[in-house]
Amino acid sequence: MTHVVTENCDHCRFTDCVVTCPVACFHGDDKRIYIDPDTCIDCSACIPACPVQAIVEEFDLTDERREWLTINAERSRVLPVISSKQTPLATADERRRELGL
Amino acid sequence: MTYASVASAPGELVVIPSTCSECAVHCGSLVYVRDGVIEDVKPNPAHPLSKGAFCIKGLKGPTGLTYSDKRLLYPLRRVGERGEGQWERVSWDEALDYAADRFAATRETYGPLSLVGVCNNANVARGVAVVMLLRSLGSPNWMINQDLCGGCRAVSSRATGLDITRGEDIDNARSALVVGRNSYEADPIEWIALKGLKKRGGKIVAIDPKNTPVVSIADLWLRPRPGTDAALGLAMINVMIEEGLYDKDFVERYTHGFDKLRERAREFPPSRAEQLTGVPAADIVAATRIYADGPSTFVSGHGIDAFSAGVQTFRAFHCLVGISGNIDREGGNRRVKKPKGFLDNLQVVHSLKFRLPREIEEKTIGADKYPLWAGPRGWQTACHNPSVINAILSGAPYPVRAMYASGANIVVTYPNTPKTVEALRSLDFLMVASDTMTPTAELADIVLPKTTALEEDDIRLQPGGPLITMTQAAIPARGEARNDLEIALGLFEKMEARGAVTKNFLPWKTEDEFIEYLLADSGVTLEELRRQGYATYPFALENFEKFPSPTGKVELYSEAIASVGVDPLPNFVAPARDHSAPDVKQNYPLTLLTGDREKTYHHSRFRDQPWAKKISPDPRLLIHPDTASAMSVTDGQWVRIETAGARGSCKAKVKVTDATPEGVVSTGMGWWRPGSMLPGSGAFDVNINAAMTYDGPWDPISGSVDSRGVRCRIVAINDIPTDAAHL
Repeated sequence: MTHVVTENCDHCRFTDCVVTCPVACFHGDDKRIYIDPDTCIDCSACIPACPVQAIVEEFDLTDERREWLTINAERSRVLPVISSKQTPLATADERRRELGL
Repeated sequence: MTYASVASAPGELVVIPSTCSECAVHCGSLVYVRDGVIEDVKPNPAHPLSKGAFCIKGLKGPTGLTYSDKRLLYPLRRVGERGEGQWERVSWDEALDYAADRFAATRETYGPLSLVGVCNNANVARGVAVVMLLRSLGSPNWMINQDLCGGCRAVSSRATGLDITRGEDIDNARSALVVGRNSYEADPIEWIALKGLKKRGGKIVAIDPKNTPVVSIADLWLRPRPGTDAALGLAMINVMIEEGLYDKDFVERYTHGFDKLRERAREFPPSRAEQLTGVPAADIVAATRIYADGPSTFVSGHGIDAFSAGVQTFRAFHCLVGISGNIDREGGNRRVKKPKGFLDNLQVVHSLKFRLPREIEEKTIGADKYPLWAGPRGWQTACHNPSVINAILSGAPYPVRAMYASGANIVVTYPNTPKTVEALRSLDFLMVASDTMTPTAELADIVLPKTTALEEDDIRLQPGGPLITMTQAAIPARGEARNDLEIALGLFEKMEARGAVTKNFLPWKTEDEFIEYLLADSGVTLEELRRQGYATYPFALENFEKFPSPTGKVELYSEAIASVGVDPLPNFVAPARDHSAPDVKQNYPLTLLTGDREKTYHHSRFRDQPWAKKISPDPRLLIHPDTASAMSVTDGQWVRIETAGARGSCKAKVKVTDATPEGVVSTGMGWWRPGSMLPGSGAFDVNINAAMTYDGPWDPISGSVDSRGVRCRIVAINDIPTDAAHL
């Protein structure tokens, strides 16, 4: 059981979540970020921090979103930890509007 | 007052090792302070028990409450009608003088027993201060919320003489038996331990009518009809005995009443349990075999507590643990380990030094009907709450006319909100201490500002470590807030000046003095606790001597329960709803579960916190898709929940999910709308207790009411209620 970053992070990468994480379990590439399931303590602090509701508890994942479990696990393994707030992608605000958030 | 960052230089960042006390799990924390202001609260990865486990309310809650714009900072005196919300700021001296005049007058007119205290429980120093104040004034009457929380399990464990809590050594177990416990939401330490168990190939058996994250990692899920768990426990005892899987040596040497238990368990073969619970007999057998292949840790929760058969249900599982021999062995359930000489808060409450005469304590409200709950023989000695509410309203068995409630929001947390409010309104005097204005404080004559967990010191024993841990005052109290001991001492002094005290049971002048009193000559020092936030101490396992029961053994047949005329063997008691009249069954076709845990909230707290509202903005009602369709409700729709015989109702937002069985709906508790214009700040509107009764049936031992497993119906509300629209 873990938390996962879902498709809402694509084109956004707001990174507000990484600052709230007490165990530095966020990893990222240029496009988005991922949660390392082995480090995540399921505290849920990142959920309200995300402006686009990208972070979901594993238990609440719909079937079509369960692929994010593997993606988060695999990508976080090879990517560096991100623990400070970074500039969102240029497309972030537009994407947020698209999501209606 | 002492606080941990007092000696820091200007601009210096101080990291204070402390313990989160936003719920009873008590994860180790690090509090970051600069210039007397909290910058952050984080988990303490070096903590030997929590090892970095934490949750959002620990991260956000303490700071959110301390710096809330709704924080109470000064004493207030009511100027309008009760509950009208008109206040004047007064000094502490004025507030306490005003209160003491009224408490003393009530005491003079009706006698000391007419005064009643309210706190959460006396496992914490805050509660002990309230108890000792009331006893000093001559009253044994004080209320705790444990009949609605962990009371049944505590009374059962005590009556069995088991001396265990729950989940103390999952790290060394081969399997865990998790009953009615959603560790994912309720206990980060336990949750991480269960995940660890799973990862290393251990087995998990989950017993729960609801599909929870624990169920999702379980190897076997037993899904009983709500409230029938005792039959499962008894059938597991049956299997364990009939298959010879119990610990014969342990049973022979250290238990009392095995033959009688075996006889009782014979009445519950798995086939009968299947009929009673709906769980396939083969699964009951399989679960027993997993549990018997120990060492195994029993993990229990609120799901089988707080209802009218709660004690017998826990007795069944505690007896199962007893015959399994998984007691005080590595990977089992550890007996509570205290450093020699250490006193825990509850021991102070029971200490002969701090007691009123027995004939007075026997008058504790509820002690006549529930002597193992209320009064001198009781678990905490506190009252039976619904009997107190009745005494306030009826004057029987004697008048209760003035109340001091500290840190307890009983308008929201006690069942039957309309009745609680009626009772509080009828009091001659009500004083409430709180860190924020609550629906309970709104009804007070005097409201006192209380410190938060970042501004007060407290220590406690954590059996899971075992550890002594400390929550440290990290910063000075904001405004004029005071801690419970200071409030109790302040009122005591005023009462003493009016000749209105019975005896001084408050010998401690500061929190430090109280903590030193608990630590005594245990070898654990306050200095060590301040430096680390915790203290370890040596302990030995396999202590099978002197179990805390009348016979000194694990009492499968409980002499204590026999002595109060109740069935001394664990038994199955069918849920009260099974015996409802036909018209009630027809009009209330669903079964209501309450108390769903959410990480964001703890009881009625944090309801005004933006981070919490973002995750969980509204009370939810979980409903199975087929039931939703039969009731013509859809996901996201608001409904009104009504139960048979209740005065009020509760609104909630439907979530359609197969996490709850057909015909069973499930919701949380503790909802209100801080700052809203609704009557009682939403306590009548979104609070499930508005839709419940506190009038029984009650557990014959703990006096617990059915706070779940009751009949209900739901009525769709077509318009979104205005109280929800503000979001």
